Amino acid sequence: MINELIYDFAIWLDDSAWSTLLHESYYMYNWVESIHVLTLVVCLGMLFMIDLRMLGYALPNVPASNIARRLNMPMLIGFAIMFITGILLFYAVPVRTSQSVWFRVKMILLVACAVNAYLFHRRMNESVSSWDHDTKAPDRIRFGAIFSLGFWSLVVICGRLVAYDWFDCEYTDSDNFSQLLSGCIAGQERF
Amino acid sequence: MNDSKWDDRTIAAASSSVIILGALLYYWVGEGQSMLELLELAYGSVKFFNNPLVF
Amino acid sequence: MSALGSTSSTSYGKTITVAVLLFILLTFSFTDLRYQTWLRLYEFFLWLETTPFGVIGKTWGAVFAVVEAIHLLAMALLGGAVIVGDARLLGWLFIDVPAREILDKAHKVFVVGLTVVLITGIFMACGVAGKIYWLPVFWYKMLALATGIFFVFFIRRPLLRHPLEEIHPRVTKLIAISSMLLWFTVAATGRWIGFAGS
Repeated sequence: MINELIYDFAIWLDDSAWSTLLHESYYMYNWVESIHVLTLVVCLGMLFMIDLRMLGYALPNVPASNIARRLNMPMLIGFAIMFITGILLFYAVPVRTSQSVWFRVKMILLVACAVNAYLFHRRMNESVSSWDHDTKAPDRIRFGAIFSLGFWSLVVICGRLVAYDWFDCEYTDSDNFSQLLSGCIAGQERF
Repeated sequence: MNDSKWDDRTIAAASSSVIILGALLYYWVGEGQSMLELLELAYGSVKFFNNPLVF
Repeated sequence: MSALGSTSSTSYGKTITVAVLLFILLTFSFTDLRYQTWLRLYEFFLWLETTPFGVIGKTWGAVFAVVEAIHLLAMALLGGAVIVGDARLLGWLFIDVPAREILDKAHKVFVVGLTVVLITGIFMACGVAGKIYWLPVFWYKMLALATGIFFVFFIRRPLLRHPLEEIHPRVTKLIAISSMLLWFTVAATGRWIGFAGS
């Protein structure tokens, strides 16, 4: 049921002229893709700095709240650009992407990242004044930082794997496991 | 002028930065120009929403 | 005399090195030497594909893909360190924190990122050596990368051992901007290797 809905939605996107134009244009598509990947440096670079500070590895002598507050803005700007370019990339190749198991796992991981980020911020705002100058943050915050590093690393790995076609509906006709994994539709004609 | 000094490290840093900036600018402007030439060659005008590698 | 004693106020070792390297690079670029060296490197690139790295990279696509992702993650670490350090030099971030503190710690993160980027990068290069050999963008990236490493360890770090107040502010800004643009170029040309080959 949900697979059918996703498929129909993807087909609807795929039918729009701009999707095809973006998909087929060499420079535009590659630029959007490059911006998506290069902004990773801004967004995840800042995020890793914050997380590593909480773990006591980066900039241990600068107050934790100072790091988090200052690097938050560049991180969010980077994230916004990644988000927009990410949507464009999906829009350019909707059917194949929506039926990629890596893409689906990536979306779930992104939700996990968001929940983790929310909890991390809340815990931090509650307690930061008591440990701001400590080299390492308290356990609860440190776990949040480790989850953040782990989830985002998996997001990047899954994102990279979207490009590979091992489980694509188009090429796994007789392989039931792949078909199930990718949420293929029986008899689908577009990929 | 304040107490900043122009010793070996400073001169090396300033000159290599200028060289690097110049070279990078040269590279990127060149890349832009060759891209425009390619598009021009393919379509007779600059169109970004098309693939110049497929005719 | 400098505090480290390695350079006196009258020696111009670094400046001369920069001039000599520039001369070599220009000679190399505008003579037949570049083409001859490129031809001779072909054997080496073919050999790279036969090394264990090359064989693994070509045989298991999954391993290659994961290494690629680690390469990206390490690039984020490297880039994060570059942005934080350069933003401090430009006075965009952390102006209330001593520059020495930010720059030294960011440099440590940078070294970790660079190490991982280099190891994963060499792995990937071995797997697709026969392809990248023919791509100009790969060679531009190598040139930018070599320049970047030289710039960081031979120019930027030694300069920043001076107290920041003693460095001419324009020079500080100049090295920050060139460093950011340089590492951006390394990353962007790196991404384009993937497009150029297809």
